[in-house]
Amino acid sequence: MYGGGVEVEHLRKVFGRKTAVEDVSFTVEPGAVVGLLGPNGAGKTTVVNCLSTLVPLDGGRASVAGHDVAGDPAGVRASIALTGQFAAVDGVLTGRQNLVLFGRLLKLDRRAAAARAEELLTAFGLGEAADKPVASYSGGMRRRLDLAASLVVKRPVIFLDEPTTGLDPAGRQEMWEIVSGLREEGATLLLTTQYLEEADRLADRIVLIDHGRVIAEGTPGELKKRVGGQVCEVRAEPREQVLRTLRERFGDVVESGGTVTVRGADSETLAEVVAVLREACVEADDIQLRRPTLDEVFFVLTGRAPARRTGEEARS
Amino acid sequence: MSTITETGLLAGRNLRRFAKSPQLVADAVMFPLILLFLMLLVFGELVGAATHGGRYIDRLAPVIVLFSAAYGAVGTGVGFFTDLRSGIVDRFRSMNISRLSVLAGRIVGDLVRAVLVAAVTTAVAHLAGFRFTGGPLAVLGFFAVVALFAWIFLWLAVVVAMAASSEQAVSGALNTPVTLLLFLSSGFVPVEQFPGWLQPVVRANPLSLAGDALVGLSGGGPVLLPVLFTGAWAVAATVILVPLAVRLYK
Amino acid sequence: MTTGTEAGLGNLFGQGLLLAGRNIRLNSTADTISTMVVFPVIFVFGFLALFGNLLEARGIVYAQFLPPAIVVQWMFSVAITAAFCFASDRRNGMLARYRSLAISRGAVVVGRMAADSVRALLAIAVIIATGYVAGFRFQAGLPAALGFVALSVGFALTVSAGTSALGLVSRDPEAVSATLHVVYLPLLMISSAFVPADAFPGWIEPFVRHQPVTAVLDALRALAGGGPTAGPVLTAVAWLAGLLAVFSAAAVQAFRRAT
Repeated sequence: MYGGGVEVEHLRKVFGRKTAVEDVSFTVEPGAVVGLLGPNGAGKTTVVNCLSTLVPLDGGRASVAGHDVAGDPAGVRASIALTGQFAAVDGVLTGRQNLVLFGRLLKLDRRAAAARAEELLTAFGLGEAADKPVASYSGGMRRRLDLAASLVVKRPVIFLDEPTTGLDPAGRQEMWEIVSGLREEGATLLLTTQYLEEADRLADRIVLIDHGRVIAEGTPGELKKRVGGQVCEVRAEPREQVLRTLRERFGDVVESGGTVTVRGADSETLAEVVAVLREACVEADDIQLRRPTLDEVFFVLTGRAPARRTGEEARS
Repeated sequence: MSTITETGLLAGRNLRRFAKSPQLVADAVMFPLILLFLMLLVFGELVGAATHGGRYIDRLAPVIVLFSAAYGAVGTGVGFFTDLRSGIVDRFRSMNISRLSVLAGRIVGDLVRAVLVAAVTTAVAHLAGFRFTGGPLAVLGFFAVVALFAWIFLWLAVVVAMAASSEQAVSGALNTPVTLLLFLSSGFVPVEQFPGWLQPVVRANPLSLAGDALVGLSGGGPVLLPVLFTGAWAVAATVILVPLAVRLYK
Repeated sequence: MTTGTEAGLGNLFGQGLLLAGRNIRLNSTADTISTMVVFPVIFVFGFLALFGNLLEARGIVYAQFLPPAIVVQWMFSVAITAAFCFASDRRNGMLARYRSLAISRGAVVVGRMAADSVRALLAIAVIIATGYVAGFRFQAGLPAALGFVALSVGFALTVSAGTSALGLVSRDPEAVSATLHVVYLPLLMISSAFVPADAFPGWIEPFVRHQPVTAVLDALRALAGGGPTAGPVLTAVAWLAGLLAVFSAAAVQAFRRAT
C-alpha cells in the first residue's frame, strides 16, 4: 500500500493580509521521512493543511502520491493519513469505538473495522484501555489513539503535525518508537516539529522554515555541520577570565546569561576544555556537551533568534 | 492582619475579577434587564388589565432585582468552585490567612456586587416607569432587603460549590431552584391568578415575600410583615447554611 | 477501494448515519433526564400555572395554546446545541479530521441534520405527552398531527443551518451558545408564543404579527387545533424556505473554510 511521495513547488498561502507561507518548495521521496522544523507560527501547520486539502493554495502547486492538491483533492484524501495538532478523537467514546467509527466511515464492514481496531489498539499499546472512555486517557495515550485513528486504513503518505508537542518524556519516547516503526514499514512521512532533537531522531531530511519561508534544507548531519556539531557549555567564575582563556584556544566562543559556550564542539572538546581550565586554575561549576538547540540553529542560519509567536497563528 | 482587613482585601479581589470580565458583567446585568423588558412587553397589558389599572412595572422591577440577586448567586457558586479547584483557596490558606476570611471575602464581595447590580437594574427600570416614592429611608430599606435576600442565596451557592463534583453540577443545582422560585412567585402575576392549590407555595416563596417588601418600599404598600418574613427566611438560612458551609470548608 | 469512499449518495447517507450515531452518542452524555424531560415539563406546567388564568379570561384555552410555543422553544434549543457541537468539533480538530478523510463531502452535514432531527423528535414527543396531560389535543386528525411534527422538525433544521454557520466560524462553543441564547429569547418572546399578538403594545404589534416565529406558531396551532390550515402553513413554509436558502448558503461557506 505504501509508495508515492510529496512534491511542493513555490507554495503560497495568504490569510487576509498575513502571508502564512511564501514560496515553499520541497520534496518527500516515496518511503522517505521529512521533518518540517520551525518555531510556533512558522507556517508548518499551514503547509500540512494545504497538502491535506483543508485549505486551498493561493499560489504554486503541490501533489501528493501523484494527485494534484488543487485538481484532484479526492485523490489526495484517498492517499493520506492526517494526524493533526490536536488529538482529534471523541472523549466520551472508548478508544475502540473511536477506531471502529473511522473504519466504518472508510467503508470497512463491521467485522473488518473491529478487527483493524483490535490490531491497532494492540500495536499502539492501548489494549488494556481499549474499552475505557478516551477522556480518561493520558496525553500520550490520546496521541497514540489519534495516530491510530488516521491509520485505520493504510495510506501511502502520512502527515504528522507536531506529534509530541505537550507530551512528557515517556510519552514522547513511545511516540518516537511508533513513528520509527511506520518508517520501517516503508511509509512516506511528513512530520512537523518544533524540536530539533525529534527531527534529528526521526527524519531523513529536514526542511527548516521560519516566517513561512524555507531557510535551510538537508539531512540532519548536513544541518548540524552548518551549526557546528555540538556545543560545550561552561559555568565557571570568574567569567571574564574563563572567556579569555577559552577564546585563546577555541575559535567560536560566546557568553550569555552566565554561561560560556564553545561552539563547534565534539567529543574531544570536552576533555580539552577541562584541561585548559585546569591549567588556568579555574574550577568549573558545571561543564556539559550538548546538541545545539533550535534557537542556536536559528541563530546560526538566520543571524537572529527565532520569532516567538502565539499559538493562535500556528493554527490558522 | 485582622480577619476584617483580610476579608476586605479578598472581597475586593472578587469584585475586581467580576468588574474586569465583560462576559460576567454582561451576564449578570444584561440577562435580568432583557427579561425585564421582555416580560413587560409580553405580559404588561395582560397583567395590567387583570390587576385593574395597577402598573406591571411596579411589581415586575422588584422581582427582576431579586431574580438578578439569586441568579448572581449561580455565578458565586461557579466562581467559588473554580477557586477551590484551581488551588487559589489553598494558596490563601497556606499564606496564613484566616480560613474564615476566604469564605467571608467571597460572601461580602458578592453581596456588594448584588447591591450594585440591583442599583443598575432599578436605574434602568426607572426608564420604564419604575419609581421610588417613599423617600431616602425607604430607598435604603429597599437595598437592605435586596442584600438580605442575596445573603440567603449566596450561602446556598457556597455550600453547593463545596459539595459539588463539577462546574456543571454547581450551575445545574443552583439554576433549577432559582428558575422554579421565579416561576412560582407573585412577581410575574398576582397570587390570585395561580391555581388555588399552588397559592400557599407562591405566598411562602421568599421571592414573593421579599418582592412584596420591595414593592412596599418603592411604590407603597405593606412593608413590615413582608420584611419580617424575609428576615425569617434569612435567619433560617443563616442557622442552617452557615454552620454547614463552615463545616464543609474545614 | 480508494476512490469508492467519497462519491455517491450511498456514501453520503451511509457515512452521514454513522456520524449521526456519533453525534447522538456525544449528545446523550450531555442530555440528562433533567434537560430533556424535567425542563420541558416545568416549562409547560410553569407557564400554565403563571398565565393560564390570565389568558382564560381572554377566552384562550391556554393548555391548547401553549404546547406549540414550548415545542418552538425546544427547537431553538436543539439548534443552539448544534452550533455548540460544531464549534467544539472545530476546537478539538475533529472537523479538520473529517474534512481530511476520504469520505463524502456532505456526510458531516447529513450526520448533524440526522442527529438534530432525532433530538427534535424526542423533545416534541416529551412536550406533546406533557401537553396531553395538561389538556392539549390534536383536533384535526392524523395527517395534520404529522404535519405539526414535520413543520416543527423543519423549523429546527432551518434554525440549525443558521446557528451552525455561526458555530463553524468559531472555536468557542460557550461564547456561541451564550450569544445565541441572547438572540433567540427576544425572537421567541416577542412572537405569539406565550400571548396572542393583540396583547402586545400597539407599537410592536406589527413586528409580532409578521415575524417568522409567529408564522410558524400560527401554522402549528392551526395544524393542532383545526380550522383553516392552508394559509398559515404556506406562509410558514415560505418563511422557512427563504431562511433555509440564506442560512445554508452561509453554513456551506463556513464549512468550506473551517479547519
